[in-house]
Amino acid sequence: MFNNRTVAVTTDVKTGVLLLVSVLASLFLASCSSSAEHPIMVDDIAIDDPLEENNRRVFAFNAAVDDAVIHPVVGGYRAVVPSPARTGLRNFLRNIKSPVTLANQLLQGDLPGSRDVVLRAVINSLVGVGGLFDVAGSEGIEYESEDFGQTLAIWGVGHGPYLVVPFLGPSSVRDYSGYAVDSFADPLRWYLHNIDEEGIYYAKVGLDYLDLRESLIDVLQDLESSSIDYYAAVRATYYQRRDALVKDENTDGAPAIPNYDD
Amino acid sequence: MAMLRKIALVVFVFAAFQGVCASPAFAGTDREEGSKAFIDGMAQQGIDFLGDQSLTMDQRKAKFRNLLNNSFDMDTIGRFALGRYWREATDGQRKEYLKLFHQMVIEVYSQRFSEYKGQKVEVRSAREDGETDAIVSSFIIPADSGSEIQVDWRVRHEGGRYKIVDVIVEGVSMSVTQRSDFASVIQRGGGQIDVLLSHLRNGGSASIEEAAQQ
Repeated sequence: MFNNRTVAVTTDVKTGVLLLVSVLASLFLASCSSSAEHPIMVDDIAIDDPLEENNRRVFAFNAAVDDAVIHPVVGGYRAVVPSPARTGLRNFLRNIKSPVTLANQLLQGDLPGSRDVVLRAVINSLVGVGGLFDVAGSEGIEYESEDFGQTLAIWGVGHGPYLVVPFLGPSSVRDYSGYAVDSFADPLRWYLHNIDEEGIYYAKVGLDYLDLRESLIDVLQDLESSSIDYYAAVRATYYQRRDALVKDENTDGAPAIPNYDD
Repeated sequence: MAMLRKIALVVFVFAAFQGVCASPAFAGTDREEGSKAFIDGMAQQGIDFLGDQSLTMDQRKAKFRNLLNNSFDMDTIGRFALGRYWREATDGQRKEYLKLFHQMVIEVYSQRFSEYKGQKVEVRSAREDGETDAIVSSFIIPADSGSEIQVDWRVRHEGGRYKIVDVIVEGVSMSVTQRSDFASVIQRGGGQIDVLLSHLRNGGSASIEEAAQQ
């Protein structure tokens, strides 16, 4: 029994190491790839989208999935579950993600941020009824979204090529790798794996996805109606939003608008 | 006597604390305070016409156009959104582009008036940026239990007037996103500015795929 588990865990570690190696290799290759003659700039970041034609196809596929499945599902979710309960679920999901968030804060060397993660987890778990209520947030200890993609950014790793992932949407080689690392390293997954309840983890991933899509649906509809090339608008939004998250929402990153005198 | 002195001391300390708490916490520079008041007033105007159920769609649109012309530097925003293609555009193209851009903004945002559901705007802070600008941070607070949305405004103070030159929602600049959108349309149209102009003439918000089918 014990042996079986050890074997399973070792295979998992092997997969993890392989994953990490392939991630680093692709990031290295990405940094060597050339960009277009006139790269499209998002603020001061040149967008690297060598897979654009393929990305556009996946984007169109995702848009079709959104229309056929996601919109009705989110609509049903909103109709059945009232807003306070949806907020409760979001708080709960954020709370059980605390170990991953904390690890990333520490890897980023953000000590005040790490302290806030611990404080939030303790306060919200105890006073906020197992994380359903964001008591810490209303006391001024705000939630900060952290993931391994952001950690890589702090370490100086560039985005690499832009990537539209089926079902998941816009990402980059760096951020998608970070997402894989976070999912792999999540102690909750290890724990549930060890008590043979991995199904619960996949249910949690499903709820994460539902929560994410519900939070994005209005934003994306607005973006679609205000853009001519929806793909390009989403891409620009993705880069800026990730940049803001890496900088922990600091307004110092607001792009300069020149003063045209003529 | 000793008792009285003690009471006096407590009252004094209490009063001193009150004084510290009551004094405005670090009042900003004139530009910061002016920009904050300007955004506050602009947001209030917006909420007034959005929340006024007696207005027709056309009346709302007219109020919005007014607000846009008075509070936003639309020529600067439009020129920024065209990016490096502004230099390549002829005078005629520039003029038509700015006109179409203005119309597009009014059309696109008019479609969203109905999304207003009693949200409040709370202006919280401002900081100077560069020679003429201030970044004003505000938060849109939903009427229900949803989460707040941070909206930063780049306000330019010139010739005694305040004008908005960019709106940044949760770290995403509307001007930068628009520029990226337009640049992609022009690049995919073979570098022709006219391709963008024809999209804008056809209503702007129609997606590339839809326009290709027309």
